[in-house]
Amino acid sequence: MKTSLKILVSILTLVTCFSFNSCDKVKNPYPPKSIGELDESLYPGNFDDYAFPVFTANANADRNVLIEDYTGHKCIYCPAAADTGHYIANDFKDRVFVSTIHTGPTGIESFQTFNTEPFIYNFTNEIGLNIGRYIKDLPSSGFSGNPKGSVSRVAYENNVALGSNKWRAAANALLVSNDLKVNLQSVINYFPATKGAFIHIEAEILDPVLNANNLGLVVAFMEDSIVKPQKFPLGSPYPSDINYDYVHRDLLKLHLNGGLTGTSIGSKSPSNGKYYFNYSFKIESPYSADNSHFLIYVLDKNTGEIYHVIKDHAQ
Amino acid sequence: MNLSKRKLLTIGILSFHLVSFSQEPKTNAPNISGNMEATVQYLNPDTLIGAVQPPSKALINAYMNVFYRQAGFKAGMRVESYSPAILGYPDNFDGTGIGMRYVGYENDFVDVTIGNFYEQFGAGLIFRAYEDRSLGFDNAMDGMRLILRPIKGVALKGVYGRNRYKFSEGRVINSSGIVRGADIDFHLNEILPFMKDKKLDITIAGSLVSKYQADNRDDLVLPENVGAYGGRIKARYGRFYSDFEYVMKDNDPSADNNYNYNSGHAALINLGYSQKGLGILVSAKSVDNFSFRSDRDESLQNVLINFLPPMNKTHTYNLVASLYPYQTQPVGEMAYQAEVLYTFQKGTRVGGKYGTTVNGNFSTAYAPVRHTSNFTTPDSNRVYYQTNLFDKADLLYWRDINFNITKKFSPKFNVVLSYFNLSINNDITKITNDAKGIIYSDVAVAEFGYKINKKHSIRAEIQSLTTKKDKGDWATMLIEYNVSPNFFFSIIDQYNYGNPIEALQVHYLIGVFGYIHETSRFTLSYGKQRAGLFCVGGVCRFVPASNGLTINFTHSF
Repeated sequence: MKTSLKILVSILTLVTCFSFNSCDKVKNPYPPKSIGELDESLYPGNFDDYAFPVFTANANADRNVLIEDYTGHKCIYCPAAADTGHYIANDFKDRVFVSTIHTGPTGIESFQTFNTEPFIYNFTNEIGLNIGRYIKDLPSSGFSGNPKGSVSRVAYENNVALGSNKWRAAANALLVSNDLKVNLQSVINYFPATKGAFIHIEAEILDPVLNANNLGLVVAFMEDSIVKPQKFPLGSPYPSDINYDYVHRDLLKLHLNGGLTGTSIGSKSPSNGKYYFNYSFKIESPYSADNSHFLIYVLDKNTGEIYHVIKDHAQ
Repeated sequence: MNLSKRKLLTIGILSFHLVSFSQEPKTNAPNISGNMEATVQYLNPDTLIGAVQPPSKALINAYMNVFYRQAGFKAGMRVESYSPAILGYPDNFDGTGIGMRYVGYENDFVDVTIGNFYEQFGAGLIFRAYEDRSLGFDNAMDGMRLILRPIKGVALKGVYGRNRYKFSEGRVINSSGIVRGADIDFHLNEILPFMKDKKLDITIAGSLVSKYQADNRDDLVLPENVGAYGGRIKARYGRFYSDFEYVMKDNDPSADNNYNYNSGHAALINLGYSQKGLGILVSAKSVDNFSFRSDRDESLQNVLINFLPPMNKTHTYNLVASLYPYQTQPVGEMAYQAEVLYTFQKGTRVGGKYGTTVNGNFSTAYAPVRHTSNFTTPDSNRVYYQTNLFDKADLLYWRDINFNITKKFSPKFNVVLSYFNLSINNDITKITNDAKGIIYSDVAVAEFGYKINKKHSIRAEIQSLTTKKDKGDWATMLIEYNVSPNFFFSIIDQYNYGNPIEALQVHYLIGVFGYIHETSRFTLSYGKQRAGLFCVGGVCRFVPASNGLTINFTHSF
């Protein structure tokens, strides 16, 4: 090869090599508050004036329990199970919460289909169906059909998904041991003018054995209640065994922050040992702030166990 | 085998490899070369010194390099095995598999390598991919390297790839970050006609390296591309030589710097003079915020892109080398070194009949000054301070003052007398859990060599270390008997006679037998090895205490 050609090739190579090398000079290391966290447009005013909440010391020392009720509007024994969950939550107010999830073990099964009158309302959603499949695939699942429910996704008598007759005992066991491994508190600021909710959460890992990267924070948007038909057992007082005015309660609608495991706690760096998360959500029709709430919980991404759950409202 | 011996052995193996590589003939005939090493340990529990027997009782490290060359084509690979790795080896070496492989082609103009490669720009301040098997360090690049030599005196290097992170279950796992770099080197005496045959010899060079790693934090805007750049100049004029290198790095928040957004710098100056019987070296190094890894969240010696050369003498005597070694501080240090080597000629009063060599060395390292007065709201940009070049604070990290005299009294008998005064800041470069602040120690060594006849020789060392901190005073005795060229035997006893806890005044006795046949070397050692840091080139790893048998075999072909 001629020398001039060698020089030309070298210059081109040099230019190419150096062009690969770039650097990003970051002048503001903190992400803007409105990007990825809070939607500024949901604040009715100048967002620079928005006052982020200052959390005080979290006085809670109790582990709360989440009952996930896997149900279907054509499942005749599901109303009784739903009542059981509701009664337990009432008996242990602010300690036990219910999340009603319309799903079978494989997702939509015959109890959840919505293609024939009067069962044409679609109670299912992607996250709920994924939870159903996830529970089915757990080593100690027990999720064979509806109705079943899990209690903080902790195995009780070798199963995670339990018949409703065991929910109270399973919940009791967790309440008695009261092993609070992760603490949570939240502040929700709601702006009716924009229907925007700013959800601020503080998470604190109390059990030093737990690794923040193995913990997921889930913010679930829940509908308080909706009246829709529900199938009942033969011999029920309802015509054709269908209660057209059945009140479906505590319905899981979506996870604000991603999939099954939500946001990794370890994705944030702690401040004084506590992790802070901010989310914004517009409560649009058909939902409303006065008929909805949020369930905020921390789970173990490996085992699925829900270590703690709190409930908050956008009001 | 003691640590210094292992280090020497490794240097020997690497030297052999480099020599054998450079001497390969550029013919069309195929050439296969390589080397291997296997180290097997069988360990016993010893509660007194804290030695633990691993569940498998036996441990093994083994590897073999094979290099093939023919008519410009080159290929090579290394098979490694850690089943499990020997005591103290980093836990990111596990299993058996191919640890390195490459193919390439080379002629006078182009040298291209695809696969794994090792490379260095300048002194390595900005980029160095290398391995040290004794240390358990390997940041081999996996990608492509291109070297072009368009005209005499110009060399252009380009590298692109990922660092080796670990060797897990026999498979190499690379870093999540990508490293790209370019380096161009001009030897002016070869390029400029008027510089030819001039006494002044000048080489100038420039480098640029950047890494890419995706932003993995929600709470920070991380620079995904971090650039480092710099230049160097080497000049030689007769007996004088000088070497300057300066590199800078843009904001590189990482676990090492607590995710600050400061820029970083590293500078290296070497000035030297040498003539027959006299050598003088003065060096200085200024480093601030220059830990450069391809994964910002990594620590220890993992996925380092660069190498910060140590600014202190590499000692070989056991007590000096392994009790209080200094580890380079990439987060920041200002270091200086001066060395003088003088040989009193034969026939002079001091030189005597065979000449006498005197060596003096001084090295020290301090914390850098961090000016914070102009950074009143550091939280807004995470830039916390400013550090100027060679701006040292009063906080001492390290100091070493040492002298040695080498005197030959007869064709058969020689003596080396050495003294070392060491000060190391244990709060900064953690050596021991048994001391705080600066550990001062004095070490004296007397080494005697006696050649019995053409084949038989004996060597002895007496070492003493005194300190008021840590585990107190130590003494070491070594006797080595060589039967040239095949055998050697040695006994080493390290005695911690000054340990404040009487029960821990232990003799660490090791016996070593070695057999050498052509390019094969076999050593067997049995005894107690105390816990300590094992360092090579300012890079260190902790080696726990052990008690047992170690067998080492090396071979080159």
